[in-house]
Amino acid sequence: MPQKEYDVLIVGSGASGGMAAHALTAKGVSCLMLDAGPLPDFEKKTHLRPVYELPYRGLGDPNKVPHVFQANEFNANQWAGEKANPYTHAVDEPYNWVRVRMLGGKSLFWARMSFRLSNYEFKAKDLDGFGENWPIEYNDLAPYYDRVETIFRVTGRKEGLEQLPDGPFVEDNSAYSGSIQRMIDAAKNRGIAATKVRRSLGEGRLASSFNLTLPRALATGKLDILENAVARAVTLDERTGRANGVRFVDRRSGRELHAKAKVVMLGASCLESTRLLLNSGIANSSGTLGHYLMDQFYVGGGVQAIVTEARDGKAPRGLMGGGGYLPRFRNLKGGPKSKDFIRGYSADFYSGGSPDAQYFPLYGSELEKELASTNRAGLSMTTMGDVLPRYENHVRISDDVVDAWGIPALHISTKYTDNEFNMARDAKDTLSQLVEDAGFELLSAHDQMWPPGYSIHELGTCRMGTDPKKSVLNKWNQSHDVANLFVVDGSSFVSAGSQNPTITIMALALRAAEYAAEELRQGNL
Amino acid sequence: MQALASLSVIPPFTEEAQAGGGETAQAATQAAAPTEPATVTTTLHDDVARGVAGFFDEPQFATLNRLGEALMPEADDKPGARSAGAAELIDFHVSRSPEDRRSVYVAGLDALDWEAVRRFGKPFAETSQAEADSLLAPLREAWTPRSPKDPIAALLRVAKADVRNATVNSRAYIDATAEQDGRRRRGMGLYWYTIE
Repeated sequence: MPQKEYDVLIVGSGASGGMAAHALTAKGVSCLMLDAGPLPDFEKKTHLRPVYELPYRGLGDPNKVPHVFQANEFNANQWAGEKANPYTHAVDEPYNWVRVRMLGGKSLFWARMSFRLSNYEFKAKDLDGFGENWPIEYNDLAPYYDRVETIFRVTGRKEGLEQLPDGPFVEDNSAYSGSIQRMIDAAKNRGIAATKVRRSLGEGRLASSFNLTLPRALATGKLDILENAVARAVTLDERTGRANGVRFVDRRSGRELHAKAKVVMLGASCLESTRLLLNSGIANSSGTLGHYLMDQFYVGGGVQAIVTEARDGKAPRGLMGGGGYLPRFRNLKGGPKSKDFIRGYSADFYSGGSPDAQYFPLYGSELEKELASTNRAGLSMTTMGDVLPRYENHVRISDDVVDAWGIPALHISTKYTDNEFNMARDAKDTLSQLVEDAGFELLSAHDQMWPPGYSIHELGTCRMGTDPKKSVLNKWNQSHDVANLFVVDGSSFVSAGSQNPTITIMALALRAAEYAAEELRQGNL
Repeated sequence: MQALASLSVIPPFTEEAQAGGGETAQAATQAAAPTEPATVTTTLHDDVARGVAGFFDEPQFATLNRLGEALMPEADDKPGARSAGAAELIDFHVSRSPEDRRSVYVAGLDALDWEAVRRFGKPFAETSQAEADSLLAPLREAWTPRSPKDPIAALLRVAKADVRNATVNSRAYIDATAEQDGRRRRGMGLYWYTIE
């Protein structure tokens, strides 16, 4: 059988790969998509079960996914297992690399938080002199944000904030609950803007490539999807130096295969795309491939409080429930500058939960009584901070570790620095002050970040830029070195921001894919 | 015993089918064939058996059992750690855990027992509630995210969570609390089977 050559071969079926497939096929471009995992079968693979039926009674298998702090015994199997998919880091540089290997990728399970970046991120160097500007600015991406937010049905409230641009939201004009309104008022009294959490509503139970972009792409008849296809390397035509396909392994059998295309587009997730390029030995004339690894640091449940009026199940109707979001409020133009750090952090907060037992300095029957009293009377805040792009924070190919398919694994070397630590301390002090201003009982406040990677917002390592000596990709997410190679996931970020990145990743993928389609049409690729 | 799982199987073997031969046996088999698949039910391990501890030595396990009793005592309407088999479950879980977690338990249980002997002249397993309370004082300090360096404090921090989870996730505890608050779905979750 003759080998088919596609216009574009896309690696990865998550947020970025799905959006790229949607954009390309809508323009009549034929695509082959590879994903390392299988098609998820929610009917066969999930089952409602009581915790006492599980093998570890909810304590979990301690060896299954030790770096995935989000995992519990119910969902441990949804994450990529670390034995088959190993990576390494130094003991004093922990990194939580959280992965999903199913069609749809992490978009099957993301928290759906949908916030735009602004020129505070795209032009960050102009504001504080650190790092590099992106090769694009907010207005370049705004029309693509509009379209992504429409597909994913992002809900939110328009506020007119420069640091958190609005979109064509499914308007959320509902009132805040009483406890959340008190937090909003406390923030505004201290000059801190606050708004509704912006989330992708999606359709049905999902807001994923699996139900929103891949079905649209398949409906064109222009997309073929290969499941269980673990990419080993992007291959080049030795004569032209251009990409001509991808070599991959059948996950189940180990059989080696090769697929051909005129263009290769990587959307395998930030670190998997970079790993693939490093293993391929291409696209690194700048020497920056693998460098400038970022994410958002998370201080999970950094502030825990109790809404006194809700104790003992006595919350008046409308007091508890819902949440709010504080977009970055430090180091804004015209505002006060922090002397301890550049850039800033965001925070989200929710009321109506029950504080975890660990926060109470009690045990035994006293603890049980207090837990009963504070059931659904809790208010919890989480800080998400901008991590600076630093050359020394990097990934490289491991000297001796390979995955279950013999593909060299990644070694990850990154750590937070004083800019992030000082930011987290400022967040602890500021957010606990807001809780006290709102009249709540402060249960605990801390500034201990989770290890890097925990946020599942890994960014950078294959960054965009105007200078081929300082960046891997140009402003169209196109390799400076290999013209028919694109990388459309979070690895292309130049700075991180404090906003959850998925909507930006999809807007970049949409923009890059439409550019590639036009270049193909004109015969330039 | 409540059924935990159902399995469709071939029609059951019947005495009628075995008794005769030829047409009689065939008719009997047809008559015995159920219109619905048969159902086989299974029972939960912890409903009929007790975990066998094997990781901790005898004094360590006795200390853990006493600690569980202090952290999650039996109540009139709810089981505590001892009847939930929390210590046995933790023994199993720690046996499967990485070395750093094993060390927290082993060093902490030894230190707690040694401290009980030093202060009260008896092992922790034999302490009164007042004596145990004085040894559990670190649990009355404000929570911080950093793990304590003191081996007893480090043990108490992880054991507080583990004992409580092993107890409240037990079927006996869930059944008792579900009856009290009428929440039939307490403890239920969407389980993902292995992706193959």
